[in-house]
Amino acid sequence: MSALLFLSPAIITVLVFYVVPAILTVTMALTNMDYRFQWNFIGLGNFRRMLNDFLLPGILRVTFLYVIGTLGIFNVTFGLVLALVTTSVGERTGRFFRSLWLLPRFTPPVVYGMIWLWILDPTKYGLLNSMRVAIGLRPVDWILNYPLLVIIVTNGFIGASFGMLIFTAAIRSIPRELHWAARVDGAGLFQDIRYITLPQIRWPILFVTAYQTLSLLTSYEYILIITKGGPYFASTVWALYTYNLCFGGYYAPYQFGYGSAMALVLVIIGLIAAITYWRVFRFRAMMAEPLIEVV
Amino acid sequence: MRRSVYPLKTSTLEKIRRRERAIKVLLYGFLFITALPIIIGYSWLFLNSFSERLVYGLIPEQLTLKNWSFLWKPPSPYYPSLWRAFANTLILGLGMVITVVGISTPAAYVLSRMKFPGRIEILAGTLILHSFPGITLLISLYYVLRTLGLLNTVVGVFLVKAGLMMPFAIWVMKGFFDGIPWDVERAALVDGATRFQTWYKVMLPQVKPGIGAISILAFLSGWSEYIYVITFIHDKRSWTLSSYVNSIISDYRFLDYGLLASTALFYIFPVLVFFLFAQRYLLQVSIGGMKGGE
Amino acid sequence: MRRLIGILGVIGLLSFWTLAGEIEVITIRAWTVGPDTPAYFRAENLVLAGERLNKILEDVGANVRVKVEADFWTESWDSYRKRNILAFTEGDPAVVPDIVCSSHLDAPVWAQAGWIIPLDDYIQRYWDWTYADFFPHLWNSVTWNGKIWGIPQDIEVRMVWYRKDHLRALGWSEEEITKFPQRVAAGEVMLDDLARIAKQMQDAGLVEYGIIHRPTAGPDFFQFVVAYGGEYYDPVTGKLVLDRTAVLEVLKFFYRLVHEYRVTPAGMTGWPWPSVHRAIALDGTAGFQITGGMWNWAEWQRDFKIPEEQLWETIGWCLIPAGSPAGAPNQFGHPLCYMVTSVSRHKELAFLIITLASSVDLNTNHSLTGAKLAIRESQTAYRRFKEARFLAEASKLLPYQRFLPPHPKTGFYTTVLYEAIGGVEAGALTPEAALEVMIQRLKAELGEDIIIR
Repeated sequence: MSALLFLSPAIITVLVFYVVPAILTVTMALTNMDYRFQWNFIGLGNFRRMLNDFLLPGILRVTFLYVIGTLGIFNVTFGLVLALVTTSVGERTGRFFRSLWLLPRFTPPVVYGMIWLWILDPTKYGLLNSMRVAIGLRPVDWILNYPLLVIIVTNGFIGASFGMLIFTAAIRSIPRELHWAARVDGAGLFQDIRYITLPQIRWPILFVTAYQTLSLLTSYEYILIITKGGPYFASTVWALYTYNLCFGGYYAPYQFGYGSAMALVLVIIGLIAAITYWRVFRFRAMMAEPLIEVV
Repeated sequence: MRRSVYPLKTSTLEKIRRRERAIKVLLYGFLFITALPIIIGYSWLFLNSFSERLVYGLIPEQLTLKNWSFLWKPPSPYYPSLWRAFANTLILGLGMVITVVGISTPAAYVLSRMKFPGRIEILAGTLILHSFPGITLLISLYYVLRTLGLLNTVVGVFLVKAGLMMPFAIWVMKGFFDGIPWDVERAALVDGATRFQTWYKVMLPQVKPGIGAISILAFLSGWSEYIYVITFIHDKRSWTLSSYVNSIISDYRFLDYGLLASTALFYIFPVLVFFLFAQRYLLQVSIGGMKGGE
Repeated sequence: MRRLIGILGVIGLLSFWTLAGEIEVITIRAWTVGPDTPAYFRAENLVLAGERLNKILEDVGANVRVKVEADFWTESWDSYRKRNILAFTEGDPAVVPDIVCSSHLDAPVWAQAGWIIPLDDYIQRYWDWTYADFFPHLWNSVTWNGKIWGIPQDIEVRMVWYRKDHLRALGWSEEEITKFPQRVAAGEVMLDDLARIAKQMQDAGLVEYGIIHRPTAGPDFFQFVVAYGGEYYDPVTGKLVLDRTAVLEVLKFFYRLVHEYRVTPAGMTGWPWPSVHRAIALDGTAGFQITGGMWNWAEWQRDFKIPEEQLWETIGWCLIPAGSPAGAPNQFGHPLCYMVTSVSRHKELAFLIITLASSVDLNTNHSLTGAKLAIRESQTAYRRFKEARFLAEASKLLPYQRFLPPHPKTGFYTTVLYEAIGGVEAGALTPEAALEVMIQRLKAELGEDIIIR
């Protein structure tokens, strides 16, 4: 009885603000709901429209490059490098730099975006351009000319911290004896990493890759703040396009039906990933049997 | 080929030590250079908010407090009161804490301790839910809030965020509860305490670190919220600091960097404070939560 | 006589609700928008109308008064619309106001959703003493599907702003500068000539940006379509039209501005509005602002504290020049209108307030403060209006004026055109590719409702 009492607020909250919206997204995807909030069911019409949407191939390309780029350069690779380096230098230095890299993740997105907007500012008052002007070059409009690079780098600085944390924990949990044995056998620092550390953290690497792929696929907040998806959709990823269809734009299109369908595509991809992940990481093994039975 | 470590010739030892030192220096340098954007970026907030302007990137030209005048005088008459936005942001943060902690802790206890039908399904369900991240729910959340009449309110925003954070919070708290040996509970129950008393007087104090960590994460999440605020809230009276700063950016972007930096610094201040002092909690919880499959 | 009957009729209606001896107050709520700050009379006039009505009620001895609460939005158009649509879809009469003031382009959209009521009958009620006086062509901007959905609130002209002081510095004589607008109107000066003059200014070091334009979408960009001889609306079928040749020319023009003449920054569409205003009016770092509007004149004085004499010294304006022999110099107007919502509980009273707010003197308040033109004929003879030098001068552009068509999807068309221009400027697309994408997007969104020529 008290179990129900303890659980019900959680169940209600999750139901109302998580489960119901999830179901609604699926149903809305089958309508052409717009600003009038009418439920006009059109079956798979939205998906047919997606196949004909002129902008989608470009957006798919941007999304693909963005996810692969950020993942490959920052989230996994650089996260790994950071974890390795910060565990190889002194404890306090390592902790200091790890905290530094964690700072962007906890900064409110507006502020983080503002800092990058200043760094990449096209006038001579931006950081990069003021350095260019100081050595006699003309300012460059970074966001305009390198939109993909900008979104990869700005999101990368946030993303790297996740991998860094996971890998640090994993590296720390490698028994010291393994390292000592290797050292005794004459291994240098790099061989130590290559033959001892890396194989031991195979699973965390896979986990970070899988998890962050999902996160990156659905991230758009920083892109919205920094490049707004411009110029002309050059940095618009799938998630951002969905957002703009519904809430962005000068005349606020409010294309809720179509937007829900686009969101649903992301969900399907996420579901596939989640199920794969469940299988691969042997979910049940983590469920400990309870110790007290309720009669 | 085995090589004995002791004794080594001093010159070889020295060579090894020198090499290790050189590598350490290289690593320090690498860390410093790669972290430069972060270092410079955040320094800018401090430097520009107290200077008239910056030259050659980061060098302040004339120290002034003028940029902080927004604290008592709005940048233009069409901005809402800064302190009202501050209050709204505070409500968002505290609302998150109360809702998330208040709901997730009892739920986590039940899931950790009791066996009843549907338990595994619920936990499995949370994993399925995780594949419905923010953007996919935004549209239908708009619809739900509208139906509940909570659009355009700060309460609506933190309820939504609390609901979305719930699975994560329950996982983390469950992890903390799992870590308490059941002997402690058994002792309490044997002594005649009810389930509720056991939970309240015995278990809760044990998971204080977990509660602390979740509280901080919930507060920061509410404090920093941007997307839900700009999507669900239009009334300037319900603006939070993130909409306020967002507006400052769009109006004053090329005009008044000092104002931009100082409002941002004002907004980010609690985050920096928490970050400096409560880092350990955050790190521990982030990793603990992740181990649980999130 | 009919005027008296009309007022007494409404008062009779109001008296129904009065309790003996007690004064009942009916609140009429209104939402209005600038977003330019000098336009606050859109809200203020409604309040003043309420006060005037109360004077009459007091004199007649009625036990009812009217209180008008008018909100004035100074954020962006985008957020104004969002706020409104949010409220309309909820349909809560406690939230939705009785009167809404917005762009005439919103009228068909909101009418289609059933959120506002047609006003033909109400207009007939007060035709003789108010609405017969309105300029006839204004009614076209608020008519959709055969009905009138809004009362025109103001009208303006849009134009090209240019810096006279830089022209002087280039060596132009006063006479040449004065004759310039006439030459544009006669078709002697074309869009590319403008670009060349701007380039001279830039090369001489007088300006940083030869030509700038608005950084948000708007009807202004259709002025360029007309400048190249294009159409955008078919009045016979009521459908929107995309003129391939003209639109391609427009996109190519903006391409030339950025990439060949190099007088416009590639990131123009990302500029904040204050930067645009500063560049043309305050700092003079821009030579031309080719998508200006007459209300900027009031904005510059109010927000940037520029004295009017300085504006007369430094700033001139002209029509949007023709781009090719096929086109014509032109300008667009973008009237706003007052609408009555369908959930309003006091529709007749709301309409009366609008009518009273449209009186000559109150509307002239708005014209003078917000730098707008007359909506009524008798306004042009009104002394205060006649005496306003700027209004009189700007009115000279009126004969060349056009409107965007009242079609629910005009907003989308505007956005798509603007985004295409932004993409071409940024170098993300060639003009030809941008045109193709525009056509695809329009076809997808409008289907049969757009004719591609």
